[in-house]
Amino acid sequence: MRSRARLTNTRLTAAAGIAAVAMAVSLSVLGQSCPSTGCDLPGITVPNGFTICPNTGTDVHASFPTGTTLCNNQPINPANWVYGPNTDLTAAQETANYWNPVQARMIAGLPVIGRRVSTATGYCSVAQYVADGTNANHFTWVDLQHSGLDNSQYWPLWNANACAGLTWTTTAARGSLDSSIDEREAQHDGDGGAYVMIRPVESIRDAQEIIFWSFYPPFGHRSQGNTNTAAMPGGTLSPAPGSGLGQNTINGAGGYRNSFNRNAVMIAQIGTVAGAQAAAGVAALDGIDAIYLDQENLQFQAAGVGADYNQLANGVMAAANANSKHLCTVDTTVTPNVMTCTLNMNLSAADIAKRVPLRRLDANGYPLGWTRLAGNANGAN
Amino acid sequence: MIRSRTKQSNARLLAAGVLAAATMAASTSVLSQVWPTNTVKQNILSGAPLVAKRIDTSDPATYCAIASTPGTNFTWTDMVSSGLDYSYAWAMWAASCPTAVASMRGAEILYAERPSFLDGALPRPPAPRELVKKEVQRAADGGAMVLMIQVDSAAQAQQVVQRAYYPPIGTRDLGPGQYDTVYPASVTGGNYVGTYNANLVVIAIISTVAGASQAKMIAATSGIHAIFLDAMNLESDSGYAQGSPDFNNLASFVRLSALASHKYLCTTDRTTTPNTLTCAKS
Repeated sequence: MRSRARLTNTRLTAAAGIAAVAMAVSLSVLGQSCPSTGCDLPGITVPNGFTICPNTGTDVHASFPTGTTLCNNQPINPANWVYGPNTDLTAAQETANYWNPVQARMIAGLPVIGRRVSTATGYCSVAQYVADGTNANHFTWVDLQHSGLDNSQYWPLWNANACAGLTWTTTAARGSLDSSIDEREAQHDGDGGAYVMIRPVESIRDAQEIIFWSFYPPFGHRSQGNTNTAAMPGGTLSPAPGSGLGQNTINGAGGYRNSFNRNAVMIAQIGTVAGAQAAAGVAALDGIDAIYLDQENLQFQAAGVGADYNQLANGVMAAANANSKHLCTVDTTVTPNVMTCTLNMNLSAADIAKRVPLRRLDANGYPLGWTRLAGNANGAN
Repeated sequence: MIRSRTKQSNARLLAAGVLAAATMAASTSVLSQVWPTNTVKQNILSGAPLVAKRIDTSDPATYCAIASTPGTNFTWTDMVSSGLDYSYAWAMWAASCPTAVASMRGAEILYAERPSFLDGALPRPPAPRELVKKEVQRAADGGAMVLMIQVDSAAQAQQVVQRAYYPPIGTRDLGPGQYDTVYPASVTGGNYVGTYNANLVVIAIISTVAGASQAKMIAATSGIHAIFLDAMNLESDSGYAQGSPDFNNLASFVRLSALASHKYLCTTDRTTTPNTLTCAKS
């Protein structure tokens, strides 16, 4: 018995050691500087966090007269482009209540519950927002992994007033569980109206990829278009998150485009052995709000390669906890399936007050590898 | 010495003349392959402006009404920021629309790259991004003769050309699409495949600082006919409002790049419904 415990301890120590080395190597790889032709993601703009105009030495986000004076006077180069203030939120907007009730609850450390949608006809029966109680329902997640639904079917569902008797204020947050991490999925879901996004990841790079395509610049690379989101009623109050948290309108938060990054919630689904091995790095990223431990798939995948499911699952849970991120699991025994996300930490009121989605990048253009708990030692705020 | 120089000059002139003649012959050959109803390519060859209307509906009747708007050269079916799937786009493109003036179908498609990430906890330096073949293939096989695609680099523009054209210019697959239905023998002379390269129009969309920084090389890419200055997204990606000096600097560089390569420059009016794309020779 003792020998087994020792063996387990040894394994855990070894795993921790490997994870530490992995993180160190990760940081080393991520830390490589941009080549002169751009950045180390070839051919795409990777925001760099620069704020000072080279010719004037002025902070472009402070009092720089962007309407009349050129900030970027150097040759056009994404590697040293100083991102302008056009999408900045005002001080009031930065502290406005969230129009995404899921974000509002997560920031407050409250549990979040969502129901699966696998058919177009089944949507309205689970679309009503319920803040608290045994039937609590904060978001719906359209399952694009294991259903036959396509864009043309779920976009209309997300329109305002698509369900009889429900309004923007009484409809649960729109969410989707995607089958891939590429631009197509992210663009279509975002443009369709999703603001709770669940994506499968198997590596830290996968997690960076989903952040990259899902959020607007400068944090991500999502492009703008004439989309379903135009139908969102900006002047109408969002669902009341519950537990005394305040509602907000999209307009009051700064408009859809500018407030999306702050309000959108990203949940990284981990259902593979590789994903579980990368969980610590994934959970550490700013832009990842929660980890979905896909128990059914992780168990299935682990068995396939003879890996220890419990050890992997514990590692995933520990990763979420260590980074103050919500941990989500799905109850597949009920119809529709129910996803529950909880923060397994006791936060003080002061801690909760500090929790904000920074949506910031490090000097290399990658999401900051730290928890959203502002003031945390890891948080270069 | 002078005589020798004169000889050299004569030889150069002769070579230039032969080259010009060959170019003219090739142009004539290309021109003869342009379908009579392809006003998009005809306008490009003659320097006339182009107008397109955006499609984001799956309703064939609405599509037909938009395609029948006077002065429209092609439809711009938005496969990026709409809920359209290809099954709907194909159906619209193939549906009968006798009143259509925009006989050429166009599609804005995603670059949809998927870097070959390796599994595991260790991130590796990402591989060069690749344009997923499916995006171009499905649009073209459905009948799109105008391809609009956002690119961030000259390398991406080259890859678009490679994916979009049939050999010998590119590597587009030969497959049983619906192009022969959309463009019957009365349009193509019964030779869609053989005349496709001469009729295709490719528009590179520039909407990022990265794209703007390489606009000159993107515009110079052979096989790219026009540059679409996507002001709304360039504003979003740069952080500067349209009209500000920083935005104007980016936009000017894109415009000058199109001009330098004698390519068309496209802009869009998003205040109209449907949105209108206008392209003019720089």
